[in-house]
Amino acid sequence: MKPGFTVKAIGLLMAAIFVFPTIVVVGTSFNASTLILFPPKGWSTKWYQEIFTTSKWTDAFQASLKVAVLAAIIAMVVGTLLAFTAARGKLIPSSVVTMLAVLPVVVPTVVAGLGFYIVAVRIDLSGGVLGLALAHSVLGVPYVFINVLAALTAVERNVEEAARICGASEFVTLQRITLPLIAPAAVIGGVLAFIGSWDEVIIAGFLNSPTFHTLPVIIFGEVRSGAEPSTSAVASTVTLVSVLMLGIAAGVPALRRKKLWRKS
Amino acid sequence: MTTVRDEIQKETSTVEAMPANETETSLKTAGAWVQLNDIVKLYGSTPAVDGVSLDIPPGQFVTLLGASGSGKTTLLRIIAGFLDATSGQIVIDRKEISRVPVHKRHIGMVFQNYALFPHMTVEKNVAFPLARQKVPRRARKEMIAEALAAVHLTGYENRLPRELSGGQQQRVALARAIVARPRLLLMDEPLGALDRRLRESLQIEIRRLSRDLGLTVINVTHDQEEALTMSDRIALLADGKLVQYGTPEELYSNPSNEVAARFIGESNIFTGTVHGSPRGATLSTSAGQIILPDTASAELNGNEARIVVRPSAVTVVKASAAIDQSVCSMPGTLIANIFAGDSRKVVVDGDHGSELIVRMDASEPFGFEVGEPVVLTWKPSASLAMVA
Repeated sequence: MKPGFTVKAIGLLMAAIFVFPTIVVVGTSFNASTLILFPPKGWSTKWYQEIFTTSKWTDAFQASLKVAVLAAIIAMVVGTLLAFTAARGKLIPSSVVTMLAVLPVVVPTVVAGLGFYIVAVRIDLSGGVLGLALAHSVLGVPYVFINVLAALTAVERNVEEAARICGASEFVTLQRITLPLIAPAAVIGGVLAFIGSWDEVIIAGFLNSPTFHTLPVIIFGEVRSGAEPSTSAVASTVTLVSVLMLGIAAGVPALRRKKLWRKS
Repeated sequence: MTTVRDEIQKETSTVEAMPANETETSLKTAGAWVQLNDIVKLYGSTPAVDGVSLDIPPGQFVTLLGASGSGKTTLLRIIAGFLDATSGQIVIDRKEISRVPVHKRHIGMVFQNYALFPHMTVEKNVAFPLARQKVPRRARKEMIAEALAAVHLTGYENRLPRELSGGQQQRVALARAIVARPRLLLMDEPLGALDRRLRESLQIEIRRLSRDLGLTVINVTHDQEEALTMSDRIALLADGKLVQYGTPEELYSNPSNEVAARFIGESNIFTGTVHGSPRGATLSTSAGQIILPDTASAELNGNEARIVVRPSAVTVVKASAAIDQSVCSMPGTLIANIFAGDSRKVVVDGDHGSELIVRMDASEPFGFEVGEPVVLTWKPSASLAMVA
């Protein structure tokens, strides 16, 4: 079916509504004045200089990055293991594993945040990279799980059998055949988990401390206590990183193909 | 048993007697001797394979033929090691291998859906078995080149499987299966996913290759034409049981029972009671008297029996024609005349409700009309009698 004029118009309007806030934030980050104005009054990149030189921002930037990378790695490992359990395990029914893995999508983030907070305080993991990364990895697991499960289902059983009859043990088959085939899916899931952690504010708010907070938490605090265009500059940077990561996720399969092509 | 032994010895001696100059490829190996002893595979209490014993001499091309659900694929997977038999032994070159894990059996295998490693180039695919079997790196290059040359795919080393056609992918799979010089090659409906013309050319190619290499091949198919074309021997399976094991000629011209007669080629089958008489035995059927061939066993006398007549042995004559008393005849009405290129298929509605088939040379003139009453005749010696 070809979309009619009305459908196109509604689509464009929706897109504009979604993109507009981002344009405003990016625009205000280039203000010459100390007020957040849109359209910006004057043109300056001084706020970007500020956020990359002030330790308040650079520390938070580092904290966010460490948490997101660690959360993505944990999510990739756990999500992949759960996907294998769901697809290949015989002990636990795959529906149970799927329910478990996808649960974080359903549980309200505030509830999860409170839960993580109570546990983290009890075991002294609050206010640090590891505690928040663990909490965020839980949010990232469904992305990895769903992606890897789909990839794993697409791996034909015969391909693994072919490897076995070619002389590969079960372990070598996993290492040489199955894992390389699901790796792109795991990486894409990991990137999504990274993005999920990178801009997450609710759980990060529960698990922060006077010396440890991530970018979104600071942005949120700044906005409430009177923000400067530097906040917009940080927000713009956060968005840019998310978009870049998404680009990587989209580019992984294409890159793979290109790499193999080049050899021929 | 002794006959099989003799044949093995014959086979081995021919292999040994092979002149050295015929060994143009180093892929050549002596085929494995495969013996299956009373293999049973139960799923719950239902047997998928029900006591199959087979003796496959070295270098033979044997096809496991059967309809779906006949247990042929299950049997192949048991030989490969993907399934464990409930009971029975698999003996390869006098060694029981039931407990040897798949990756240590050193068997080559080709799958129906090619099962190439999608993330590896053709070269890497073919190199995989060599790397697993710790073949020195220096030797690999030449072995890969040889295997690819054997399947006419030289120059495709750096392609990915998805850049190849179905036929090319299956040839890569074949190269991968033979590159490590296994003595036994298993094929699970290797041509099933290909179109007819490609299938026929690959049939010939696979057969040539298996002869050149001298390896033992066990091929699974439900396609009787493929089985007849390619095999040294056919093992016909039905409901998990071995129905008949023999050369394509034996199975075609001397089916051991009705199942075999129906599965291999077209058949006209009549059932009735045998009555001995001075002129030779006859079969009384609802459609009339049929003279048994001289070769029919005397034990059939007085018993229920079947007669199988191949369509190509039957002749159509005018209803008014005079018929020799020494030939079998069956009146009917011609209901279809199908021109099939190299042959003509004629369908006749027997007067007693049975549908009969005649195959004749398409180049011969055909002087009958559809709807015309005709008589079908055949020599008793062209038919085959068996216990019902």
